[in-house]
Amino acid sequence: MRAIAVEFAPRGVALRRLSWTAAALLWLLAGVLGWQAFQTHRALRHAENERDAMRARLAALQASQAQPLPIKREPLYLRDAQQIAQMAQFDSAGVLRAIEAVRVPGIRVTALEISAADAMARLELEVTVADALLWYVSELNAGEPVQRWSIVRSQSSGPGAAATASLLGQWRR
Amino acid sequence: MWWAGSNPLDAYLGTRSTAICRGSERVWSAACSGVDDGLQKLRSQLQSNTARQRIRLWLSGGLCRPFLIQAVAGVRNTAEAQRIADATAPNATGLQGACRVWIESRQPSGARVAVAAVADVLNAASELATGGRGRVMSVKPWWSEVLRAAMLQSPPPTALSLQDCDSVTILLGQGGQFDVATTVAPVQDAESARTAFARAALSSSVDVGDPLTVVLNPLRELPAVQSDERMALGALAEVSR
Repeated sequence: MRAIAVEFAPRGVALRRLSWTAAALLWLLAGVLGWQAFQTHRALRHAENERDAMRARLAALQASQAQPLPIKREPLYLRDAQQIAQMAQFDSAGVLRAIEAVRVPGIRVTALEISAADAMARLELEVTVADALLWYVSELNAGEPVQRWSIVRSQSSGPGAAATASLLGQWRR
Repeated sequence: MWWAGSNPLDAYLGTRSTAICRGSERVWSAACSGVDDGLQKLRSQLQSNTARQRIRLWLSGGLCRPFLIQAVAGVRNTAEAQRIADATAPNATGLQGACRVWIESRQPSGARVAVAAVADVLNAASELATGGRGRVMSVKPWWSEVLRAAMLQSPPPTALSLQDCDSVTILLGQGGQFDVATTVAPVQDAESARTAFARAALSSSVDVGDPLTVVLNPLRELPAVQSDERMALGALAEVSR
């Protein structure tokens, strides 16, 4: 013979309560896991959207950099034509006439350089009278809308010796 | 309050007597006339207990009867065996009314022990402590407890004659197999019990040798001549071999 484990007792109330509690906990756990999964999925979707947007922006930026900005280049002939036009507009003869017209005692023109391209003239002077240089400059500028002539150098080699000076005249600034 | 404690109470319910024990001490017993009277007395006694108490309910052999189910060809699982047991229980045990049947798990020998009890009695028994602070934690036949204790002996007996207030349960077998598992009821005296055992032994091929006889009498005078304290309700049992 053998022992037998006969039992007629119904499942205990405590066991049923435990079963319900376990079931409730399982449902709660499932709910929490589901909510976390939903949040994770939403965050993932958001990150994917951001990634796609950044990719689009990057692609647009790369596309814009790939195409060089249009650079407006002047044709060489146009630059030469402008220079020729500027030279043509400079009144070299008028400058010479103005220089020849101004006569100031104690001032003698020793050199003259005219650059039509730069619209400027340079005068080298010998100054024997002390105040004659300023007078000469004012005479040159007389009648001009702006001060075109200016002293760029004035040098005296010693007492009794003639001084030298350089004037610069500019017609385009 | 007089039975408060952490040890479970052992309550015995039969058709002629009922009792409550804790350990080796009998704390209450009463004669009854039928299972309904016994249930009522036992219920009132258990509900008067104000302490939280676990209760093991032991049913008499007359209320909870064993029988054998031989292996049936074509039975594939426990559910099918259960249906066979449910159908054969009234004829095999003599119980009247709807029965609830417990069966053993599949056995190598093929024969399984089944135990049947009237469903209404089981339902009422499981609610014995309702209204009190006790809780019925198990409902078993008292003879299964004697069988458990007997199988711990070395060598285990091959024949058991277990008499209680309303029946005698006869278990014969050896080598882990059962040859006879039956309850004869009503049996109210020792002579009828001996006759029933002798008749069962004659029809069996088992050498009964020195049978273990246990007589459970909740109403007898204490102390017992020879009781077994290793099993529940041992204070109410007289063991002889």
